[in-house]
Amino acid sequence: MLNIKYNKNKKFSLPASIIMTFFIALNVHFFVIAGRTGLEAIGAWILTVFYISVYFLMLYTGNISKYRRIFFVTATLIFFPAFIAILFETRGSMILTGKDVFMSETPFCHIVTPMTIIPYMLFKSVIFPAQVSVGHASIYSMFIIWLIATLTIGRGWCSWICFYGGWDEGVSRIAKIPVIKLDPKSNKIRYFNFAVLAFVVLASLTTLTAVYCELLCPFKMITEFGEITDMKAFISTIIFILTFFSLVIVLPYLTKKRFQCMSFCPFGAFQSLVDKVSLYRVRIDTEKCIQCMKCVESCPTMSLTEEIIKEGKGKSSITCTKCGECMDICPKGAIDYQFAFAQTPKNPAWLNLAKRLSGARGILKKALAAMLVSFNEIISPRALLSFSGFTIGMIISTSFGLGTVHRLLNLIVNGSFLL
Amino acid sequence: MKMAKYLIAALFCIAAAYLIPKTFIYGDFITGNIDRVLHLRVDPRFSGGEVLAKFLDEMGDDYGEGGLTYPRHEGFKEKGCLDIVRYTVYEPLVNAPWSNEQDFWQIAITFANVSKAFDSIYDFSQPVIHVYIDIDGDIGGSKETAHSRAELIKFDDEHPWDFMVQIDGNHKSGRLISWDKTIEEKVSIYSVPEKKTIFARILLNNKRIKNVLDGRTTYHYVLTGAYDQYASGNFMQVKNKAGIRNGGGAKSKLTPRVFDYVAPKGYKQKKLLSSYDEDMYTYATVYPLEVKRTEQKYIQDADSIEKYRELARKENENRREASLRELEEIKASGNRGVELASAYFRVEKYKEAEDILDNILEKHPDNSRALAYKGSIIAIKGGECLATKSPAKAIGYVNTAYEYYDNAEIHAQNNEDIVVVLLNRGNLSISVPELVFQKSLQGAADFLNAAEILENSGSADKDLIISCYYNAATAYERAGKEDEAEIYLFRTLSFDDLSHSLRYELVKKGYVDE
Repeated sequence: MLNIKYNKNKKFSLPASIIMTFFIALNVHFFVIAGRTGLEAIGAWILTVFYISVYFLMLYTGNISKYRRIFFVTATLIFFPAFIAILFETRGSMILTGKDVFMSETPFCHIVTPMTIIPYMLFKSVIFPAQVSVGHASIYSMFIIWLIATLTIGRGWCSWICFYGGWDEGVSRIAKIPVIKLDPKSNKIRYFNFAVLAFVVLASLTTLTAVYCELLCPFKMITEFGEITDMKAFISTIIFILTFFSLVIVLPYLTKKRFQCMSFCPFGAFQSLVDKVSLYRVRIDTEKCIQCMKCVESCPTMSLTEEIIKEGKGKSSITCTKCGECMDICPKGAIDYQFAFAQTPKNPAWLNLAKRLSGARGILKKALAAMLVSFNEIISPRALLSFSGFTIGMIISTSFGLGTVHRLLNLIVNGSFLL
Repeated sequence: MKMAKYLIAALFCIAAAYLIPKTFIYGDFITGNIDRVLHLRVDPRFSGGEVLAKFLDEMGDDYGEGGLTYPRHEGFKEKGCLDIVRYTVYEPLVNAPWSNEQDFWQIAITFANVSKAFDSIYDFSQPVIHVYIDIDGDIGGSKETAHSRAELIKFDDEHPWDFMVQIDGNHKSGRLISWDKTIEEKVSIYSVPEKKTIFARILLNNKRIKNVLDGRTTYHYVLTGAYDQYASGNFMQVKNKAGIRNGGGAKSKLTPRVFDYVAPKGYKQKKLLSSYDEDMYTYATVYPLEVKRTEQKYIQDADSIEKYRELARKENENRREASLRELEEIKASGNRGVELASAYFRVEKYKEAEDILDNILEKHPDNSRALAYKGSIIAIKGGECLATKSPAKAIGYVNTAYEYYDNAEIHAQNNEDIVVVLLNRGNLSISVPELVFQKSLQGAADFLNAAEILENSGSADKDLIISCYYNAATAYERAGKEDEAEIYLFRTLSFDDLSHSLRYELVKKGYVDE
């Protein structure tokens, strides 16, 4: 069993935590509260309090991954009830009908992205029946969110933004110890989703339809699925059910790993490939590392391996989702986020100055020292990645998340979950 | 050096983090510009294939030969339910993805209004549509209707029909029959009330129908009548006087039972449907729409754009001068009411307008027009805020503006008040970022309501009515409803005297200056 002791060295000072939370609060105000009235406004305030508290605690306690997980899993849990409710409100069921398809009213999900790129380049059209620019689930909305997320946190998408990822992350935390302990040497499993990616991209190009969505996606179970009108639809429905229960529920529970994200999701593999352009990396300070392998054991996607640690490579593998789990657990604080294009200086001039000032007499000097410490924290990759990840995650989940809270309030006040 | 590099990286990351919410606020602008490069569109196979041809039909011509009126049955109360405004033919499609039909040929009929008035299977009840198709090169065909004494028309000698498709909302599926009755097939129907459109998918199961796959030209007669379960071909009778089970306004026993017919270019519906001969007892002859590979319909014309840019500029200058003169006249008359505020508003003197409005609202908080103009002034403040200060504040202003409009609508005393509210609210709805507010559809509805009120009240302000239709089209465009936008652009173009500014906008969109 893992002895989880959260590393206290990485906690932010109170002023820095307050300042960063203030900026998050501005974003939350704009995306969650502004323009809401009635019950929806009450829901928005509930969500706001949750977001702000979680973000503040994330920084103030320094337990990035713990509070990220609370945010991430909650965002997932509140995403789906509203999503399903909206389907019932507009269609009367979760079934994707022929009419929805030819009206291009299927929400465009990020997993479709890699399947659509090559066909678009060749045939100048998107092989998925979604709205191009209208509404939150349109192709352009998703494209913009994906672009921003990729340029900032890269594969961090899978731990901060993805509204599916919270499922296997949540389930993987239920058991205290793994029922099936995966051999750390069998970590090649994390490359299986690259094979899935290659298959779905080629198959989609050949058939000019989004094959993963049509045949494989586990999350059809909890979003929308096609009518069973023929044998093909029947078989794909069975696949959806099997993949959902096996990859999203059973295996994450048994192994305590994010099995679906790690081994099956083609979008995860795609994000790993484009992660090079992102602003942040996870680095291991090989001088501090005592090779206790706690990080290897705790990594939910098996992106840290014994070889990486023993060989002193100083970085995680490309499948790393920047969840921060290894940072929280590292007893020496040897793992942290870094800017992709610059290393954190060990003794920056402003911190040296802060040290000198904090020892001096006078409130002003001490205040200046505190400001310099806060400044150092605010410009740290840890603060900026968490800010970016939290903001995008909040934006993408707000619309449906708020929908769920609003509907729950409606259930309490008016007796109906549907609006 | 290391520290400088770190600071630069940090600054870069701070800028990136700061830009995340901004990207969403200016989402419309960003997506608009990205779209100029990417031109994203969904693979047309999902929506029934590439559009092969589109035929726009005049709105409001559901009077058949000229004077037909709807039956008096409750179900036909809805105006425009027999009024075809567009007929669309798609490319035949093989192996359609994610579809219940594999190989089919889709046609679509758009009405001015679609509603479920009685217990029909689909979301439309009143019309029965017959589409007669002549597949060029096919041997045989008929010049008479599929059912005797149904539509009371005959077809062009040169294009006898090979197949007839019947579409109505009261049978489980549509029906296709060949002229010699040797082929009878089901046709899938999808009704989409939001688009006021009925889609029909002709299954390509039969060799003779599959002929369309080789890209040959086809000829289509599109006719609609009032649905009657017991009438021949389900085309309800028309008589001199409208009754529960018959349309009215028929001039003759030979008057076609057709309320709307999509006439080909160069022909007039009225003329063709009244071309029957009582002496010879011959039915009216109709001519088909020719469907072949589409050519580009709208061409941008640089000379026209330049010409109308200049004319529009002068027109706007004249308008502003007229508004200034009007302002002076109102001031001179001693009027300190909403008229003066709106005159200030038109010449963009918002501070003066707001002072007057505040005065009025202090004494009469329920003054509908004052509330509407006050809403617009608040919205303008929001616009200024978006450009300079806080976007969240801007959202607050816009939402407050809508509250004023809604309040103004509640307190409107007459149609004129309502029009003022609708126009103010409509203008805001087509100005605010769609990605944030999603108000374009409301804007379209406001402009169309305003146009209807103005037309029904016999308003002499034709420019205003025309601009309402144009703005409704713009609103639909912003909402991504290009089909609806096209209908109202066509409606705008159907007016004779368009202003130069409007013509400039239309010419920019590629509508050729005729």
